Amino acid sequence: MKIIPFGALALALLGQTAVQSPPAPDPRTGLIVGQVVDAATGKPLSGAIVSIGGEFLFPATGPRPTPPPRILTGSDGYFVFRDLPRGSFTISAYKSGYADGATGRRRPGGPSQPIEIKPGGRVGDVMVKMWRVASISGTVVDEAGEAIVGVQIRAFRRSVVEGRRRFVSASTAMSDDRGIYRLGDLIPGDYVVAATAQPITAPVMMTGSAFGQPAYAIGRGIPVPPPSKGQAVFVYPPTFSPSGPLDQATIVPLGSGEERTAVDIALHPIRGVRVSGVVTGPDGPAASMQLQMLASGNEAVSLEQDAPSAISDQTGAFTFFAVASGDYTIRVAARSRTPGAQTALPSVLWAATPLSVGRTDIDGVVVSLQRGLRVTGRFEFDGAMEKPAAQRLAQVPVVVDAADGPASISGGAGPSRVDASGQFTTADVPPGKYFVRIGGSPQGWMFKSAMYNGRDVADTPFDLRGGDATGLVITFTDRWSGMRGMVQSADGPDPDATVLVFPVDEQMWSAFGMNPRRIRSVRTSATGEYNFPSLLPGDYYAVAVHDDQAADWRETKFMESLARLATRVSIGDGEKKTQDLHTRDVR
Amino acid sequence: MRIKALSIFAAVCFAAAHLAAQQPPRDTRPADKIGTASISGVVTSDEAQPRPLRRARVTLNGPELAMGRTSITADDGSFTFERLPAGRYTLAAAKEAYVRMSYGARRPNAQGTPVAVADGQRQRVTLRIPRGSVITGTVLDPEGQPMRGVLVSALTYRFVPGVGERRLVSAGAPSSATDDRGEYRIFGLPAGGYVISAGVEQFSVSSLDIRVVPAGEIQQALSERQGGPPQAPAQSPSAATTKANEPRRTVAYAPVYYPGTAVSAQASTVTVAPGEERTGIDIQMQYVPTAKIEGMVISAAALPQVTPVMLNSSDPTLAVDSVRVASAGPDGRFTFNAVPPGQYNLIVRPVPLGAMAGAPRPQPAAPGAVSASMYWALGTVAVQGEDLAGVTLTLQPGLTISGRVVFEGATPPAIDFSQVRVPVPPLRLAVGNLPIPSPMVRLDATGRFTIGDVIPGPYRLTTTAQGMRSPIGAWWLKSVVAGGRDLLDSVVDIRQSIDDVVVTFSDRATELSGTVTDAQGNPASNAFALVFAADSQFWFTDSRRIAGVRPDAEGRFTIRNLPPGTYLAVASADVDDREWFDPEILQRLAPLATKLSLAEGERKTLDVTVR
Repeated sequence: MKIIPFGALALALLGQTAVQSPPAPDPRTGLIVGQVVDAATGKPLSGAIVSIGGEFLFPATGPRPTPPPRILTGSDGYFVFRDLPRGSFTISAYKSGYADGATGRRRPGGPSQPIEIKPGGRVGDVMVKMWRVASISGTVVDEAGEAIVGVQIRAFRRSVVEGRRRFVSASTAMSDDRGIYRLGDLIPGDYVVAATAQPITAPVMMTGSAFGQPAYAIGRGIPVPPPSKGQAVFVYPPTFSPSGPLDQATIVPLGSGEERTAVDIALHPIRGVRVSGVVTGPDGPAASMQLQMLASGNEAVSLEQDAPSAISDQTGAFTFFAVASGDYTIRVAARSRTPGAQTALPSVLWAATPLSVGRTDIDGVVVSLQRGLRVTGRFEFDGAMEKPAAQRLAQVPVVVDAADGPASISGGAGPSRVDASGQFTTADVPPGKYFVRIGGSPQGWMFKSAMYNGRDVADTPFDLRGGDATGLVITFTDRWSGMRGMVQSADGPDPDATVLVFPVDEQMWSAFGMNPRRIRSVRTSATGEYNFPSLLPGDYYAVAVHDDQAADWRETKFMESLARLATRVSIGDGEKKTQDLHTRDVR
Repeated sequence: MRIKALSIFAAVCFAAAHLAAQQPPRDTRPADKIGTASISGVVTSDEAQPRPLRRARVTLNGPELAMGRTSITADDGSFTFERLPAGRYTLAAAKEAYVRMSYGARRPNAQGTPVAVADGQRQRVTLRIPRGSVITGTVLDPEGQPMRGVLVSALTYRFVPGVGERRLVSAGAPSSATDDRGEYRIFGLPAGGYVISAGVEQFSVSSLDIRVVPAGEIQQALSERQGGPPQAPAQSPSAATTKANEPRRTVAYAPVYYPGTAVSAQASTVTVAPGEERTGIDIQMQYVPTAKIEGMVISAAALPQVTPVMLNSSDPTLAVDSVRVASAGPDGRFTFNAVPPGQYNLIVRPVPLGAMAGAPRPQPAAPGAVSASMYWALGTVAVQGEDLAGVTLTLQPGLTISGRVVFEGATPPAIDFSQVRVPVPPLRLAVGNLPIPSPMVRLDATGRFTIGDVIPGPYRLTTTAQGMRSPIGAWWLKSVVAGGRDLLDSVVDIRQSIDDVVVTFSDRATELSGTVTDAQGNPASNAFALVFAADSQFWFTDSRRIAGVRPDAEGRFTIRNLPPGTYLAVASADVDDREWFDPEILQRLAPLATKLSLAEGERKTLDVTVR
């Protein structure tokens, strides 16, 4: 089943504010014809698979029509979709060796632009650009210079996550029998490459083999360490090309279609020590829990996926077989198997135990699991419209959005629950700083505020600690406010721009969680118009830039330079502001 | 139809087990004893000039240990296992890009020779492992462009005892997915011959319906766009008919075998020597036209909301069955889209219709009788790129098989059958290897049993039935006669319910014992002693007239309860566990074997030499 991207879902549920025009007869003879081309050379691309979406996924009215079959382009790169109903369509293209293309996409991974079809309308000259992917390859060797076979290599791409520059995992590959790895399918950007996989120590009964007690699972992708010498055990730490930690790593800038070779990695083993202990929960020792040993001071790159981990046995005992010295947090975040008696929501057990590891074994560590915390409250509807029906209310997702770092529960927090009278309870989360936001509002209503202790915690995070947060009031309003207008460049209306909007308040330019409501961007249409159908009242900076410059814009420093070029806009309660803009150059 | 080898009557034999003398409960995890023996050595490469291999993993297993142990070799290739209890241990060595070998085995995947240590003894062994071979090449799409994400596997023909036939199975080296250049690299392969297959994952983008647009349609669209005459409403009906008549090619990627055929039997074999790197094994993917299958499940009773219908390929060389499922609604209609060409089975799993409206009323229950409550359907269909409609699957009720248990011997036991509870092992339908809910087996006070809800088809009982190779108490399974034939020796095609099955247990069994010796006349404990019927009609998987046993440390073996008849006996160090069910292997060994005959209840001694 297709995973519906959050943005699309939000748009669909937020509804449309356009005035309904008198329904015109729809002959369903709309036509779109276009061409897939290589973005670098301009030449047509054969063998691309072109599909059409948009109206077929989220029809404005009526049942969902069956989409036409996808098209395989021939040597002229052309595609045609006919017999289309009126509506808004996105066309996307897939081809081996290229990043996915879409109409209006001006950079790999950039936003697409839908095509509007009036009843029986015809659109031609549609061009879908596709960018060749780039690659990094090299050899992995150990301390004796011997090639390491079957080790997992991970590429990290420099991105912006919640206002900070951070290297984020992009792709993995395994080294072959010559020790050579190849990371293909990379979109242009700045990369670092590392061997990061760390061992999992599992109870003997699970792995069926013992290095002494308990088992040391050399999983796939982890290099075989040197054999233990007496008490000394060894491990290969996460190593970035050429041969050290992140701050000594070679940064590999990749352009479209570029092939970088000889990005080699040399691994050196270091001594590790044993760390063992017991995991206990509220109901006693906790079996089969996965514990992760997360190194502190790793804000710049996310190594959590590959961190050393251990699994507790039936008595709750766990062992990390070989941990390098340093400062760590032992983290557990697990959905408990038996749901709480009074609710059907899965509860979470978590722990974050700090630990300093030196050169001696550490035994007897106690990791105490605590139950997660919840947020409860009610919905209120401020407006003249009829309140949504009970079943509709039950579908509104209440999202507890972590303010300090990516979602700390593997798999994301569970769903929230809303009852018929609009009382909601969120799923369990570990203590921390959070926003409370809505994943999609009922039709016709705009999410206005989430008030807790006098603060709107959709915009400013609060500290969830020591107990559940109760009494939140989430308010929806039917007085929509938004912003729209025209973007002009020197040559007239600009179809290639993206409009960026963010609050004037500088405090909100960092640590804003995954889905800040007031930091938004939208692509202009083919006619140079832009529209934010729902933008909360407040003071904003608005600036239009060429879409090429809009990549990774939600970064604190970049927003500072944008602010200098931006127009200040104030949106009042229920106001649908019109604001025309000129395309600016941020360089 | 393929023979279904399943032990449907194992249940009855298992029932008898409850009556046997009480056996002490098995201790599954003996405590680890600390001993004084040790095994150490080196791991080297298997070459003319062997090199020590560092960072190899040596595993040690033995009945004296609760769990296997693993050791990593040092830079000089050495390893050691200390504090072992006296006993026999097997060792194996593995290293990435090399082929895992057991100590003493002549080829990979074969069992090796155990190493025996006494208390205080130190044994030294050398394990030699060959470097794996490499097969590499490029996969192109039908347009000649490199294609990424294609899974390339090295397959080899191997006798699969579970199926009773030679099938193409994965060779043991992991498959390789092509990278962005369309290149794949399979390494760590044992030397030998391989069939290389390239396939696209069933649910990936490339394998679903894709349409190729004819050039004329593009021209038409471009001219319309340029302002050509808009389609007048009057033309719409003809546009619709044109659309219906126009051939719409829907395609998918078919699995392709090197050098470029979709038929595995026509594939070339790529042979690699130990440590060889074979390049240039390139494959071009092909499109095949896909088809739609529409059909209906026909049932006497009302169908439930959803009835799953399964479609799977009946290509005999495919080792892995991929099954698609469609849902038939209450009207029985189902559809499969985008089916590549080939032969398929359609299966409707047993549906409990007994409670549905319109179902035949259950028969009045005789004591122990089971009324038919499960309905099923089986069909076959050949797909060649054309859509198929009107495929019907008519639900049939399961059959009932009943009979009685008879004891032949000096003192028949006194049994209270009504106290016996019988768990039945799950049945496996050989077609599609799909589990089917097991029929219930009950015994009445006189020892009569009834098994209900049996799917019609050919059946045969195998050595996995209890009482065949080892007795239940004092009783050996002697025969299971149904329809005048013994299910233990031949296939019985059960098409109707049967009620006269006789399961016979006897307290006498033949016994064949002896010693396995090597060419020098010394006892050989690392070879299998094989005894098999001279008549090749009994050469099938789990036949009771084929036995393969490992002798003990002194080379002695004993085989019991072979039915009377003529046999061939031989010893071989070159076969793997259960490989002796492969008729080709028996064919090869027959001329080297000693002939003997066994009469009812006879005990015989025979020495066999390793050939």
